[in-house]
Amino acid sequence: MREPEDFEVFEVEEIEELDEDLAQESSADPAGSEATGNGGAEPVAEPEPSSADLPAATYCVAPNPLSGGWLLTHDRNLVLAAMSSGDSERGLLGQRSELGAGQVAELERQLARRHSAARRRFFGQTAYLVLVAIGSPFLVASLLGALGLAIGPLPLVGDAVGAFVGSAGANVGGLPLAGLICSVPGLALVISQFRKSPPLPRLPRNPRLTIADGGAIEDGFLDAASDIVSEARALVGGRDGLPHSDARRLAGVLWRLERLALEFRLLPAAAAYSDLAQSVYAFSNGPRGLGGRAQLRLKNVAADYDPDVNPGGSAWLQAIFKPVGGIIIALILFAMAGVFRLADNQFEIVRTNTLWQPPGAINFVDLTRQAVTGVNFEGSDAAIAVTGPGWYWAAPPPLTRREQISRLENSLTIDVEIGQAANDSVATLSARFDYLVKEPRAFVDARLRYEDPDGRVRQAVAGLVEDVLADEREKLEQTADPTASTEQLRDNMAAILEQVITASAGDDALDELGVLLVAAPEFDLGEKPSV
Amino acid sequence: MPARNRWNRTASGARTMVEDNIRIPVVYGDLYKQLSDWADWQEQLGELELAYDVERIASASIQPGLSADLNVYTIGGGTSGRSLAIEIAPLSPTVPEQVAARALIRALGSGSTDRQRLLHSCLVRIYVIEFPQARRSRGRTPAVGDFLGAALARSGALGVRGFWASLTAHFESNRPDTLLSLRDAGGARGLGGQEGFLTIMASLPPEVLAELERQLAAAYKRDWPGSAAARGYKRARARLSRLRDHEIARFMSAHLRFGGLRRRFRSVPDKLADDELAVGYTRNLAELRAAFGAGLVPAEPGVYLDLGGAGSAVSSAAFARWRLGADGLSAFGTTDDPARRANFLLAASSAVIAGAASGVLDRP
Repeated sequence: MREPEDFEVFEVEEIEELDEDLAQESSADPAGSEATGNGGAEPVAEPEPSSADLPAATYCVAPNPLSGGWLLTHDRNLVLAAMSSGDSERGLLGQRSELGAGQVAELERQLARRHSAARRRFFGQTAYLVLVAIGSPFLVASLLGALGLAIGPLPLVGDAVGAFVGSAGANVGGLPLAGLICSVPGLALVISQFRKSPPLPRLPRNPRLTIADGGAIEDGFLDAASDIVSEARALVGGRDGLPHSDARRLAGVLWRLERLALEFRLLPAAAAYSDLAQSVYAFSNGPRGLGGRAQLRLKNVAADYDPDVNPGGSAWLQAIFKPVGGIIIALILFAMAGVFRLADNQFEIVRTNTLWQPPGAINFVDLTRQAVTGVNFEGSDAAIAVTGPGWYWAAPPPLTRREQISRLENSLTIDVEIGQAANDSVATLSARFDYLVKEPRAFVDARLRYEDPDGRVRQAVAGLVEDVLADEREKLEQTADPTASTEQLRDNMAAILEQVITASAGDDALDELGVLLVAAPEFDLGEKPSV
Repeated sequence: MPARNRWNRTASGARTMVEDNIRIPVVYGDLYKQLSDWADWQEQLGELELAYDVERIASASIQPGLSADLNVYTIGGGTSGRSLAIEIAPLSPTVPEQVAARALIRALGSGSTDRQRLLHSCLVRIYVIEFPQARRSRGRTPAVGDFLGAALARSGALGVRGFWASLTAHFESNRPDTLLSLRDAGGARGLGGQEGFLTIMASLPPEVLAELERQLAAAYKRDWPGSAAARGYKRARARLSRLRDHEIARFMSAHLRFGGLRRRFRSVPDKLADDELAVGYTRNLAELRAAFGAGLVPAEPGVYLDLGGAGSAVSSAAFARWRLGADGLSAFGTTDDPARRANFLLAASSAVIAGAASGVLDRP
C-alpha cells in the first residue's frame, strides 16, 4: 500500500491548483516562469517549428542517399492516416522542377495501388486456404494410398499395416478418413484466416489533393547532408543490391542522416530516413544463406518515396501467384502419388474405385518405355494387371484402388483332416505352401469375381490336398492294412505334399485362379479329439 | 577471454561484467528515509564529494517562498562519444522519484566503485528538479485511472513551460544518444501488483503494425492468461525481432526482469521468486487492448514499444526520439510500495546504463 509520507506535504487539490496556476501563468507570459535569479542559466525559448502552417501529411524533397536524385520523403504513418481519412490537404517542402505536386499525387496513387495489392494478396490467401482445406483430404488420401503400397512389403511393417495405412486412399470409402484427418487443421486454417481483417484500410485510388507549398528547405541542410549522402552513395557504389554487412553500415549512415534532418526540423525527411534505416537494418539482421535473401534490393527499399519506382509489378499476378503456385504443387504431389515401380517379379493390380468409373480410369503409362496403355472396360468394377519390370503411372488413389503383388513370394497355410487316428482322435495336417502367380490376368479376374480371393485359393489348395490324400489312402487300403492307413499317410506326408505340388500344375481350380504351387517347406501333423 | 566479450551480455541472459559493476544498490528502510529528506541529502552530498559537474539550467518560483531548480549532474568521460541523459524532472517529483534521483547520483558519483571506470567512455547527465527551500519533499497526486494509459498520461508530460523549454534546449545543445526518463506512476489501477515497465519510443511501418495487431489479438484470444501471454510475446518476437528497437527491448527486458537479483531468464514471468522484480507485462486480451489504446505494443515482458507521439514531442523521451533522433526510453514505477517504485526506477537506470556502457545501444 502507498505510504503516507508519499503525499503528505500537499493535498491533491492543492497540487492541482498549483499546476493550473502555473500553466496559466506560463501561457500568459512564456518567459514569466523562467529563471530570473539564483544565477541559473538563462532558459532558452521554445523554438517555433519552421513548417507550422503546413498540414501533418507533408512531403519534403530530400536527397536520395541510395542512388542519385531526390526522394519525396514523408512520414508514412501520417500520410496513410491522411489518405485513409480522406484528408486532401498536403504540404510540400523544397519543391523542385522534377518533383512537384504532380509527383506527390503520382506517389500517392502508387501507395494506394500497393496497399490495394496487399489487400488482394490477403483475399487471395484466404481463397487459397479455403482451397487447401477442401483439397487436402484428396491429397492426403492419395498420399496415404501410395504410402500404404510402399510400406506394405517392408518386413517390419507387414501387409496388414500397409493395407491399413493405404486404406485411406485405397478406395473411395477411405476418403472420409482422410477428410477426418484433415478436417481439424483445415478448419483451423480457414477460421483463423476469416477472423483476420484485411491488413490495411482501403485507400482512394485517385485522390484530389490540395498541396500547399512550404517553400525551399535550408541550404544548410543540403550542404551538411551532402557529405553523408556521398558516403551512403559510395557505400552503395551504384549497385542494385547490398549484402548484409554493407546493409548494416548503410543503416548507420541513414540514421546519421535522420539526426541531421531533425536538427534542421525536417520531420518528413527524418521520418523517411529513419524508415529506410530501419528496413535496411532489419535486412542486415535477417537470415542468411538458406531461407534468407542474399542481397537487399535497394529499389524496393526506397519505393515508397520515389514516384519513378514501382516495384510491385502486377497486383493481380501477385495476388494469384501464391494460390495458383500452391495448387500446382498440390496437383504435382497428387499426380506423383500415381507413380510406381515394379520389379521383374512384381505386378500391380489397378482397379476402378467403387463410385466413379469414367472411361480411361485405369489407363496406365509405362514410363520406362514411354507408352500409354488404354483399357476398355464395362461395368462398375474393372481391374488390370500391370506387370513389371519398370516404372509406371496410373491415376492415384482415391481415383483408383491399387494393390501390389509379388509373383513369386506368396504363401498360404491350409488345415485339412487326414482321417481317424489309432487313439480315436482325428489326425490333422497344417501345411504352408509357397505359390507363384502363374497368370496375372487370371489372378486379377479371380479378384474381381470372388469376394475373398485369397480364401478361394486356400480352398482350392485344400481341395487338391484332400484329393491327393484320398488317392493315397485308396492305394494304401488296397496294398496294406486298412486300419493303419492314417498312420502311413502321416509317415509319407512329405512325399504326399510333393505330389500335391506336382498335381497343382494341372489343377483346373488353381489354373482358374492363376496360381501355381511351387513348394511346401513346412508342415505340421497333429491330432484333435473326435467329435 | 578477449576483453570485448567481457562487456557483452551472454545469449542466455547471464550476468555480465558490465551489469555487475553498474548495478545500483537498492534503497530500503533507513536509506530510503535519508534520501527522501532534503537536509539529510545535502549532508550526504557534502560528505560524498561526488565527482559531478553540477549546472543549474533553470529556476522557477513555484509559490511564495518556494522555488524549484532544474539541475544537471554530469559525470563520465565520454571518450567514445556516447552520451546518456537520465531525466527525473517532472513538475512535482514524488518521493520515490526524488529518492531514485538521489540514489542514482550517489551510486554513480561515489568514487569507491568501478562504475566510474565503466563510465569513463560514456557521458551521463542526470536532470533533476530540486526544491532547495522546501524542508520536506513535495508530493504528487497518484495516477488516476486504469492501467497503462493512466500511467502514461499522469507521468509522461512536463507541466512548466519554462522548465520544459530549458530542458529541451539543453537536450538540443548537448544531443544525447539515449535519453531515459524516470517516472513514478503509482496509483494506476490494475498495475499495483507489478513493479513497473519501460517504454521505448518507436515507429513501426503501418503494414508491420497492422499485422502485429492482428497476430497479437489472435494470440491472446480465448486462452488462459499465461499461455496467451507467452504466445503473444513469441509472435511479437517473431515479427519484430529484426528491428533495432526490439533488440533494445530484448536487452532491457533481460536486465529489467530481475534487476540486480536476476538469476535466470524466462519468456514470461509466470511465477516469481521472492527476490525477482515482477515487471509489467500484458497478461490477457483486455490488457492488450488497453496497451494498444495507450499507443503501446508489448515487445518483451516489462518493455513496450511506444508508438504514441510519433512526429510530436509530448514527453522528454518522445522529444529525444522525434526531435533529436536519439533513443528515447521511459521507465514507470507502478507498484503500490513507494520504496519498490524507487527501486524499479533504479533497476531501469541500471539496465539502460549497462546497455549504453556495453555498446548495445550503439547504432551501427
